[in-house]
Parts: sequence; structure tokens; C-alpha cells
Amino acid sequence: MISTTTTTATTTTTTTTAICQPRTPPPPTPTPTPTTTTTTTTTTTTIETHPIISAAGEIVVSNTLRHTPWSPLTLHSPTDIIGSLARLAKLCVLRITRTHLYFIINEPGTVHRAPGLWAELDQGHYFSAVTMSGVSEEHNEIFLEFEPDKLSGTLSVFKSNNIAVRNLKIKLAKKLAPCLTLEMQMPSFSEHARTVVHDVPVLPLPRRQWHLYQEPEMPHFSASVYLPPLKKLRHVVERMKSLSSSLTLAANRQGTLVLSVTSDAANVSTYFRNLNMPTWVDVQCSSVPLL
Amino acid sequence: MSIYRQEEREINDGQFRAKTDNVKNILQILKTMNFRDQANVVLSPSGIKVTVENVKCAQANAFIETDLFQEYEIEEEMVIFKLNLTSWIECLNIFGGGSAGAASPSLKMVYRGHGYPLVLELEEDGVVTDCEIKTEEPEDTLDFDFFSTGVMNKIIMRSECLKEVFTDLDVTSEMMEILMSPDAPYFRVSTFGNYGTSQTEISMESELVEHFECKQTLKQRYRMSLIKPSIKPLTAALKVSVRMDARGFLCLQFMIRTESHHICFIEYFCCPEEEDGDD
Repeated sequence: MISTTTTTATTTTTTTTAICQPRTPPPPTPTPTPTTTTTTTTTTTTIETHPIISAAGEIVVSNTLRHTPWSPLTLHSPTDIIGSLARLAKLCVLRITRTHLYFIINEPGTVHRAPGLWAELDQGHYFSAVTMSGVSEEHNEIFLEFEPDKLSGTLSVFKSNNIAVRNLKIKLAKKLAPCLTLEMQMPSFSEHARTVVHDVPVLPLPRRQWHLYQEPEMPHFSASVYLPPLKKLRHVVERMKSLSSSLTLAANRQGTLVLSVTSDAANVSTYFRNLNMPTWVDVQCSSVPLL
Repeated sequence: MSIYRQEEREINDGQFRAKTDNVKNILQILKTMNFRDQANVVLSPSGIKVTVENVKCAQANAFIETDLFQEYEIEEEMVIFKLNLTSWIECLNIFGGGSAGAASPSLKMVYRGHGYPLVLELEEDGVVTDCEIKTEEPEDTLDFDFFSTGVMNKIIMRSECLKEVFTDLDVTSEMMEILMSPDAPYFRVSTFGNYGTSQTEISMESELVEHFECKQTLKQRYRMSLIKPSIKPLTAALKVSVRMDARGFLCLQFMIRTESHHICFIEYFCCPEEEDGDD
């Protein structure tokens, strides 16, 4: 199932860089940035002079079918991540580097005061070939602002089990306006291949705004733990949701996580024990836990 | 509330203790009864009886016998309390009743006595959930006095045929009429909707009818809104017994086979609709 592979992708990325400070999404209350990204009025001017587009900064990411003898034919696609982004905020920033993709939401979204988000994806997990060139040699990165809702619609084809997309290519192009062009090759009954092209508008961000989207600092923390299997956690939380509107979370440094709710009718607590804990180096907390 | 109270609590103290390896059995039974939030619970040496009433005109009783449990201990003859059935079901369902193929969650229930909550402990794959469900003074429940007149019509049939009849009832009809008679048509369900009268008959000669005992012709109308809650246990049942007494009270008894192949009974009583005259 695509959803489970997507979630493990992000966790494996962090464990391979175990020596370095693991990267996790920012805390629920990010420091709000004074300059908001509602730069719609300046859109037209930025396009004309934008260094990324004019300097042939084309990115071509192509994703061809992977097949190993023991796994079914599936195309890894960040469909579920983008779907979650769409639920959290109207706007999101995609940062592309040589090796990684980052999804960044700075402002609290309009939906239920959603938290900020900083997600790091390993390109190699999703795409078999990536070429990109950024603004310059020194700053070889691209920052694009987009509406995840629109991208989610396009990628939803991957959710359907009936349609097997053979090939996905994503390019950054300038048609009437800058956009991400997604080209998908679909099976067809005739001998000719069927290609579906979707253009998702994006707003390239100038370098002077890049500092707004840097990796957030890890706050002081008292406890940290890896979450248990999300499917189980989600089920417990959904059942608790019908008992109370607020939930208490507790964790310690021995790998225990406790969720509790209190209501007029019942008190319920769920204990997850022996959870893995991330190792921390260069920490701001007082001691390093043992795994 | 201390986070680690799970260790602090003396889980083996109290008037009542029961343990089962598979919470799905109880969960399945209780889910069919959840047409109201509150339920009366009676704990006795023969098992657990859960009663849910519907505006004092209908009553559902579930009998969960001790053979459903691996351990069952009770110190009193009878312990009665009222609790929030919806919350109880949510707690039992906290792990989702186990996914297909995986080990299903185990359940331990403890009740210390009057004024104490009903304490549940569910466990699945090393994850433990503790619940405390507050208990209240029990409500008086109706006694339908079903055998008082001594006259009764009774039909036991496989649930399939009644399931079809009940699930296809005309929703625009306020009333449902049941006729049970030693003569043709033997058993008839009628509805009176916006578009006409609909009647379904089941003959005593039908192979789905297992037992037919009707001494006299009895015909009564029941409010559809009172009958509707009986559809859920009916859907889960293998067999159903339909009984009507001389006063027109209806008693449906559902025989349900749980996942672990235990038999449980749910009975549903319904008051007839008062009629001014004959039709």
C-alpha cells in the first residue's frame, strides 16, 4: 500500500543519518514569520525577472516503474503526503535540492489552526532520475510555492488500483506562467501510448525569501520517542475522539507513550511501551537517552 | 490522575471479575443494542444482562453467559448499575476488535462495588488500555409480564426471511401490523405507506419456519420507530422467535452465534399501538 511505504520512507531517511541531528517536523507552534507568502500582487513582476526560470533552471524528475521479484508493481508517489498537505494548508513551499525534496508550511493553515510543517524526502525513494539546476552554482536550490490541493488532485490517480501509471515525469516549465508539468503515461488499448499532462501552477520564490523556509530549530524538550505503528495509534485516537474533545499525551525517556481522555462517562488511557527512541547528539536537553 | 496508575490499582479486588481472550464477542452483542446511550447492567452468577429501554415502550435485553469468558467470578448474587453504553462500546472497540488474522484484544473487567466505576483492561500486542466507566444508580426497568395471560402465539424461523421483510419495510409507513394465526395466512407483516399497503406472508409450511404454535388469531399494530432498533440484532442472528401474547405485546428473541461460536440471546419487547376500534 502506498501509504505505508510513504511513511516508512520518511523515517528511514532520518535513521540513515543517525549520527547527525535527526530532522523532524517543527513543533506545533512555529514562530510566525512577519512576511506572509501572499505575494499575488507581485507575481507578474517576479516572473519576468526570475533567475531560476530564465537561467534554464529546468528540473526533470522522472519516475519509472520499479519492479523487484518480491514486490508488486507499484509506483512510489508522494500522493499521500501531498494529500495531507492539502488538508493542512492552502499554500505550501516545495524546496528542491540535489538530493532531497522538502515540503514546508510556515503559516498556520486556515483549517483548524493547523501546525507548521517541515518534511524532508529522499528523492531516490520516489524517482529514478532527477536532474536539476538551481539559481546558481552556489545556491543550487529551487523554492516553489504551490497549492497542494491542486497537486493532490493530479496525483490522486495513483490511489486508484485500476489504473496503472507506467511513468511519471515532473518538469518545471514556463508555459503561460511557471508551473509543474506532470506527464503520466497510462496504458491504453491501442498501440499508441496515452499520455496525460497536468500543469500545476507554481510561484518560484526569489532567493531573498529563502531564509523564511529554513529548517526550524529543535526546541528544548524533555522527552522524545518514536511513535508506535500509526495505524494502531490512529484507531485509538479516533475512538477517543468520540469520548472527549481533548486528549492528554504523556511520554518519558524509557520509550513509553500514554494517551488519555476524560469525559463524564468514562476515563480511558492507552499505554504504548517499549517504543524506540531516537538518539540525539548536539542536544539542547539535559541528557542523551539510550536506545 | 497518575499516568502509571495501571500498576497502582489492585486489579484483583472487588465484587466481580471476568476475563475473556476475545473482546469481539461482547462487542458484537452490545453494538446491536446501542439505540440508546444508557443501559442497565445486571451482573449475576449466570452471566451479564444488559437492558436498554426505548421511551418506556420497548426494551432490549442481551444475555451474555459465563461460557463466553475464560474467567468469571462474582461475590454477590446480583449486582445492578446503570452506565453509558455508548462509552462502554467505544472502550471495548479501542483496538478495533483486532484486524483480520491478527490476535484479537483480550479483555478484563472488574467491578469493586456500589459507587465504583466498571474497570476495563484491554490488551493487544503489548499495548494496554485502561478504562473506567462511571456507574450510576440503576433505573427501574419495565416488566412486560409476558406470560401473565397464558396465551401466546409463537413462531421460530430462520432469520433470513424475517431479515428480508424487516429491511424492506416501507419507510413512509408509521405503523407495522403483525398477524399470527393458526389459519392462513399464518404469519403476515403489513405496512401502510404513502403509496399503498404492503403485505408479506410467511406460510407455516415454509421450510424456513422451524416451529409453529398459534392457538388463536392475533393481530396487532406497532409503531415503526419502536420496531426499527430490532433490525440490528436481527441482522446478526441465526434464528428468531416471534411471540405475541393476548394483550398484543410482541417479543422477538434473537439467537446470535458469536465469532467464537458461542450462542447468545437478545430479546426485544414491544408494546402494541393503542387502537380505538377495529379496522
